[in-house]
Amino acid sequence: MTYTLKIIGILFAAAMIYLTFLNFKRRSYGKKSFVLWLLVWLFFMFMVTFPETAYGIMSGLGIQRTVDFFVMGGLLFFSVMIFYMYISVKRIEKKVEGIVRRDAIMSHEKKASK
Amino acid sequence: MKDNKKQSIWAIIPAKNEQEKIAGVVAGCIKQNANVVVVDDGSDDNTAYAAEKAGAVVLRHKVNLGKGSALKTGCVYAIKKGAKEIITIDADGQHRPGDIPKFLDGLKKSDIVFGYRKLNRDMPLLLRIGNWGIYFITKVLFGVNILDTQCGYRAFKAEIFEKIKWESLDYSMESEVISKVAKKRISYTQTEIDTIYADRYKGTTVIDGIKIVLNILWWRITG
Repeated sequence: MTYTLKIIGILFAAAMIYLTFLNFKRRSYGKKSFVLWLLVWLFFMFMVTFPETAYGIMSGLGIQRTVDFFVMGGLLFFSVMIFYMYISVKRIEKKVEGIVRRDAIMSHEKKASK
Repeated sequence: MKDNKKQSIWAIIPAKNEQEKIAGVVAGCIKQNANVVVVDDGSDDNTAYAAEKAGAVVLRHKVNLGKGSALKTGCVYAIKKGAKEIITIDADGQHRPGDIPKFLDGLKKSDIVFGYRKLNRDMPLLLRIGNWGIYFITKVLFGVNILDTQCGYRAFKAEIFEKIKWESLDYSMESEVISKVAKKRISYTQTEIDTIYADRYKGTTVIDGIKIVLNILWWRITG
């Protein structure tokens, strides 16, 4: 991997670590999520800095180029993330629907009883 | 007798930004001896006020959730108040309340009545093509011959609500109900209604149509 790409990758991971820490301090999420994302960005930084550590896995999977390995790994990771986010959104949607319905009926009944 | 009948028939009107048309629809339903509940689905005009003034019970969703959700709110409320027959009707004046007796007659022979619009030149071309496409897919996948799968003018007996209760928040609920009617072998009839298109830009879009088709495939697969 060229040095320019390594530097860009390391700087990107560092920026993401900073954002992760900042949002943790702002209580956007709890300790568990913070540690999980920190590990993700540290892993990313490690792989960018020492890509040769992946050669063993790559040869086992029959992948020749490091960039292909990263692209495939990234695709898998983001597919899982998108699916997880979809489930979360669906759950929130259901909860919001329930709240809005209950509120609509209760507001009317309160008004009617006056 | 009239009071008992009025107690049992409920017209559910999901509405969003229909302050111009809602009063007429409400008045028309009341004239047909139905209790009327308008579910204002996050309107930012005077839909709720106009509906209330016309004599409807108005339930207001604080945020817009979609037609499916609004109809469900109305049905939950109506059944709580003793509804035996439920009629769903659009708020934009597309459906004539004067057709309600046809639906009530249909309910004497079946548990659910689907309204159908003739696919004639009054219906926008894109809608005609879309409706035919969804009709064909529904027929192939579910084996039911529902002539207008996207017509919101329907009636059903309150006792089957739990069987046909839909999860969809949006227009997909029209097809979801049909999939449940087919799977649970609920008796149905159909009645012709007039095609009235006041606003060609409201209602289901091409994107909605694609979503509906994907949902139909999903419901077929998941059984």
